[in-house]
Amino acid sequence: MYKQYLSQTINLLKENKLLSFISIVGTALAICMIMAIVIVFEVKTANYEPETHRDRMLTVKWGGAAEKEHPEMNSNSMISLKVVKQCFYPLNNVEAVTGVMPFQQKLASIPSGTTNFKCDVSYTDAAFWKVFDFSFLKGTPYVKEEFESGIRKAVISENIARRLYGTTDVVGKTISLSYQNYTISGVVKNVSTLAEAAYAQVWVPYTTNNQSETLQFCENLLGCFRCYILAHSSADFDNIRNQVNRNVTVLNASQKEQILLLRGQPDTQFVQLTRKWANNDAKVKETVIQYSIVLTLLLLVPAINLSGMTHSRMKKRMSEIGVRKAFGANRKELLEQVLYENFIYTILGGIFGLILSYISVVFLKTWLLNNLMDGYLSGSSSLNVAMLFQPSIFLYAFIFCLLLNMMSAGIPAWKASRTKIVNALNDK
Amino acid sequence: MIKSILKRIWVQRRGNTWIFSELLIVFVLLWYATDFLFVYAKSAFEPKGYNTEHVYHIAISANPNLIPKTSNEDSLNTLWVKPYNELIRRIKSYPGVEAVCYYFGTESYSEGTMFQCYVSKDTAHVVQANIFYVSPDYYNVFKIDMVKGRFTNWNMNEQPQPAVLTTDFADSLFRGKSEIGNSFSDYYESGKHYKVVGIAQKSKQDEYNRYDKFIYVPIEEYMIQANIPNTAVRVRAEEDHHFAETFMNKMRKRLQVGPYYLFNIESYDESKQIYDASKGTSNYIKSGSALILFFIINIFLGVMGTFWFRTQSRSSEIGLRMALGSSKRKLRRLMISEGIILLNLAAIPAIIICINIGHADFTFNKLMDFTVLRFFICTLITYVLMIVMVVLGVWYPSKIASNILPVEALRNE
Repeated sequence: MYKQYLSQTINLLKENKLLSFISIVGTALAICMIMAIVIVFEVKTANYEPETHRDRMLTVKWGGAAEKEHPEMNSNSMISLKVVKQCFYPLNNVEAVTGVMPFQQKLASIPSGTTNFKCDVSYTDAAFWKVFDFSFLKGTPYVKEEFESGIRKAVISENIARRLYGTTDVVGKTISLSYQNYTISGVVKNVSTLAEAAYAQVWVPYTTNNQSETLQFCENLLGCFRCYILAHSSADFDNIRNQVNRNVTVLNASQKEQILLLRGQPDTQFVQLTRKWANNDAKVKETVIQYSIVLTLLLLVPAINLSGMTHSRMKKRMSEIGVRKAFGANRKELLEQVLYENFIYTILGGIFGLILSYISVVFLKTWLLNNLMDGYLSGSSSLNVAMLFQPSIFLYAFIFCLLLNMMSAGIPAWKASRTKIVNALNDK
Repeated sequence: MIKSILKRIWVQRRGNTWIFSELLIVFVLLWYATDFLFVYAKSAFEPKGYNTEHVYHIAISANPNLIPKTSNEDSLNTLWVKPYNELIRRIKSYPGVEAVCYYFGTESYSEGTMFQCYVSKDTAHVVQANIFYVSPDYYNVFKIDMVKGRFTNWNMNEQPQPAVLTTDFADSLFRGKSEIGNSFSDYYESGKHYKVVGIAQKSKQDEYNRYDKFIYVPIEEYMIQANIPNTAVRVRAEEDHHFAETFMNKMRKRLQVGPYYLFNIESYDESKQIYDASKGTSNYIKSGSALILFFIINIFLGVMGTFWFRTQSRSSEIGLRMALGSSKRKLRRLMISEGIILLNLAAIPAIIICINIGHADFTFNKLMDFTVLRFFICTLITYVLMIVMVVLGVWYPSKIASNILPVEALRNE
């Protein structure tokens, strides 16, 4: 029976070329726009190197310091090293905790050479290499003992190695960052700016930068650090949050004038994406509402289009429906037929739409995938296969096709199945 | 003709519901997106009050190993200020440079703002303004649009200090009686007095911002002891080719004076691009344009599909008209008029909805208030877009309709 519907639909497609074209293009356009949004969302939340454990990672991006007497007077920025040491390093039941000083721009050069250029440096601890999975082309990262002693070791990306030395075989050689010399201990594969937390072009221990201690303000509550916590599994998140809250309460009790505000952090990956500015709460509800409105609009307008056309199509085939009803087809079967036929149109449009959406994401990535900070960074937002071809994307595409099908064919199908046989046969 | 079309639309109102509701919904959505983009477009076209074309921002840093660790006034002067002045001299002598200046203040295309409060002598009226501490050549680099006066006697040692105000600041401070020579003082530092030497056009920090009050005063040397000022150069238009790269290569060694070194040079156009992207402005504009394109393509497809069906289901009527002497052109015009009248009918409730949206403050009002003129222009643009799409969508089916042979059509009956 379904094979018959299929061959019928294909014949109809060939007969009414213009209408089929309009239906398929309309569907493809809608699916393209919807899937572009979905793909971007997946790139921002799915796991890929070096942020291979986003699903069990918690983030602390921003902190606030409020006056004890007047809590509405507050300053906001990244958290300080003191907060990292007192509230986050002592956490139990976690796989690793790392404190990072990101977005430091330094001038990279070789001590005796002539090339120098801006590069993005992150100052980290040794646990950084446990929380994120980097691919080391050569060498190894700096270890806990080297970090604690403030030894000047650096891990650089392959682009930087090639720009400075022309090769990636540079372990043991020197790199100068704004006139401070470091020994290269490892070379890693380039990291895309899309991996916001792990991104940098050079990583060095923060114990080699005295600004990690000196750049603290608001009674040493704020500074230039971010903290990433790797849990054993996402089931531990609540336990970790409780521990953090206890540590913060203890810290605040010992503060004289200012107290620390974390505003609900540490966050999961999706929540952290909605937390754009330091002085606001995470805007999860607003983001979900925004996404829903946009997706509804993108589905609604084409659905109305396609609905009208399906309705007219059904009217034309009234006599056929009348005959089938006269021969015993019940309402459910007719409904199924209309929905199934329309689904073929939708799937065809959906496949085109999905291909189009991948093309747009790749070619328009500076628009669709940009993070607010991208312009200030020197790296590139490269995409790779693992990011783009997540199986969940195909699932979402299928679901949206189904949804569009329901919305566009639902009412006409229901109306068609309800017509009285006499009226249908008379075709009036 | 219109009456008969209206009658036909009413008779077929059930069949017309789809296309009517689509026209209505898309009109409102299209209006919202057009209104959104209109605000951005208008802001982009309004002049900033100064010119940043061919102007470059030079980022100077201090080498941590060479920073002088002294607080003695004379040493600070020798170790910070003298090398900086030498730096400026060397930049000025670079070929292609028209003017160099240095300043502290609200940098264009950045988040930082500096503001002070001022009070005029005659009234006890306190006004806040964004402040710029600038060197004498600032005017030559940024070509400030002046209404009256100029940056005369631009010396920090003049008492009272010269100051240039933007018109909105001057009008607010002197309650409309702003003249060259007026005096006023700093609100917080009681010893600081100023004299107006020039009035500038309204200014804003970047294109996508509202106009704000600005004041320019001379830069004072002691400020250079504490911080490195922003440095900007204006390059002659003929020489502005790959200026940034060649400057970096040639001047890196030459600008290693005292504790300073050249960190970066960037054109203001580049800064603007990065800043707009960081605020999400470029994103909003592109997304808005994409949505508009999406809606009008959908309208085009929807109208074309609907009228195609009509052509087929009404072929007998068309055959009859042709048999009774109607010309092809008249048939086409009939169909197109039907499309336009449908649009007009849908536009009336749509415009009412749009008025309510504007009234309820759901529109994007950060850069511009919701005025009658804005509403009128956006509605007009939306209407024109929709008409064009409807006419285009009906055109092909109407052409097919007018080519029907009356014999065929009537036979089908």
